[in-house]
Amino acid sequence: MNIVKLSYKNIIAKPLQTFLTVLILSLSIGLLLGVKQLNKVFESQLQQSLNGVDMVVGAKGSPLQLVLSTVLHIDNPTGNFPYNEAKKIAENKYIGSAIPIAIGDNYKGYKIVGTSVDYVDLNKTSIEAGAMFNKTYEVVIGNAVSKNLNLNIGDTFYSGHGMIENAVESHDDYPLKVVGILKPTQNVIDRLILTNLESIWHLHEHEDENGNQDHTHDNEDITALLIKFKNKRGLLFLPRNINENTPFQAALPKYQLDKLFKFTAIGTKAITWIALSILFVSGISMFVSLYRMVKERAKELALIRTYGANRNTLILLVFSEGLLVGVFSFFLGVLLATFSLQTIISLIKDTYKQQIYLLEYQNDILELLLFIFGIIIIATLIAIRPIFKMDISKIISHES
Amino acid sequence: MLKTVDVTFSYTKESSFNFPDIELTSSQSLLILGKSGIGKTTLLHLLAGILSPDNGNIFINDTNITSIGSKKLDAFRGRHIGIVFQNTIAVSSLTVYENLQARLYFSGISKQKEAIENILNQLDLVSVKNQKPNTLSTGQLQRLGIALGVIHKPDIILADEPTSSLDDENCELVIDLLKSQAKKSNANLIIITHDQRIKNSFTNTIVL
Repeated sequence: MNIVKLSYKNIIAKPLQTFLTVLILSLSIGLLLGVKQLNKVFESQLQQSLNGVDMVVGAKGSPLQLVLSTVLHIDNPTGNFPYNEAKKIAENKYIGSAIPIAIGDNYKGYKIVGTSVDYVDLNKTSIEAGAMFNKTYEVVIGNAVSKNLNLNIGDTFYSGHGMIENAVESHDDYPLKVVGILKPTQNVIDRLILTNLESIWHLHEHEDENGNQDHTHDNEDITALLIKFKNKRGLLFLPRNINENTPFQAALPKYQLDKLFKFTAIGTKAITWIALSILFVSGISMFVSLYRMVKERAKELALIRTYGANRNTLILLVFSEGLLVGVFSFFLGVLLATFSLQTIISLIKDTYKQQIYLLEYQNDILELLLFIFGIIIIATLIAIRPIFKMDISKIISHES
Repeated sequence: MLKTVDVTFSYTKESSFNFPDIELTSSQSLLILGKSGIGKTTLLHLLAGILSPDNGNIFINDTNITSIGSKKLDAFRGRHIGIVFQNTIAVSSLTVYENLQARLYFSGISKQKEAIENILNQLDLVSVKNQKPNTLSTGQLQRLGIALGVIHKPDIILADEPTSSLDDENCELVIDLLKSQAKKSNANLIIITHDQRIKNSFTNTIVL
């Protein structure tokens, strides 16, 4: 027998109360950890995927949609515009680099992007196996595409028209051939299939010849131009100039994502506050549980004093009870958060074909552990007050 | 060995208890008889070091328990004094066996198994050792109370009204048990009661 064992026995002797305290405490811990981690992961993943793109030029429409579809590849594009016009914009003196992309086809849900080899450099990756696309209908695939679809060098496939998996129409006469596989980046490029612009244009030219009117593309159209400025003056002049003087739109990815984060932050803040409120309630529940233990078991505590335990031992007994419940709830909460995050990541992978990697969250765990420890100490400090006023003689007399 | 000298105690300024001096040599027993409200339980709590006297001294084995600090007194009480209550108090979340373990643990006694098995056998509690106190019969609970009061082989066993709620047969049984346990521990047994039935079981009696 020792203090911890006695505390444990006391805890399991009141299963319902213990269950409720553990439930709400672990739920709040799980929610707090989960929301914090999700927020960090999404922000880091999206910021990382920007790859320093300062501005995106595309067809008129929603600027956020343009950024999401052409930089993060998680939405439908706003439309296409002539490459010749794009080249004129790219010649501007404030532009350091301009990479064209043409999207609109997919293979089993993975987007096919017509672009230049500069797009690979922009995404800070390189060829892991094979070579870069060089001819029409040659493709280089992202690492996740290769792994998930089991595609290797030399394999061929037919692209489907549109952005969604299982597209009804496919470009069946013109197989795309895998000539290279990219190194993994944990970034959006992992789930893309890259080819040159000509491949995209040729695929759609052939369809035009076949008389398919539903998805006619003008020759040499692109979806967007991903631009890096030479210097900050570009940011001052170019977006407004393009938006006011051309039939296209210029969107600033960082600004658009900040706006998006502000919207999503409302939700995550709300969940965080709810979790903190539950944590506060669980702190009160723990205090009530410990206080009731001290009050209802006063005669048992007095008895333990007659056994030779001093006041500090009784305080330790109360603290140990709180600590056991707190530590158990904490680990349950961490498990809950980890399990939920893995489920969400798995759902995202299935839906968006994007592998998301959890960031290290030992610091968050440690921070929260200290916070919980603080709550236990506060709950114990308030709950032990009756111990200081305990009149052993009176308590025992009333029982004798 | 127990010795009290000029012990007084008051709960209020108006009423005060002046207790007679007590002197017991090793293994002597004492019956303290008195009506309700006369200060019997107060005296027991003073002897146990649960209350501090206003005046006077209480010596147990040459230690003046009125002059030692709180922590030392707690430890001294745990090791040298055993209390048997009228209504047994035990830790409700623990079994009989675990209650005895806890008793020894808080007394600072590490060799527990043999002591527990001995007392369980002596007080016929083996069959209920894994039961919680609230599942015991009145007799079993009474015996558990005695076990908790004597298992650590104290120098003084203090029993507060141990027989008042018992019938004649059980009354005699409990007194015999207490006496035999005191003898085994070579301890002083002090019983405080208003129960006149046990008057003849003791040669050494103080009437308050």
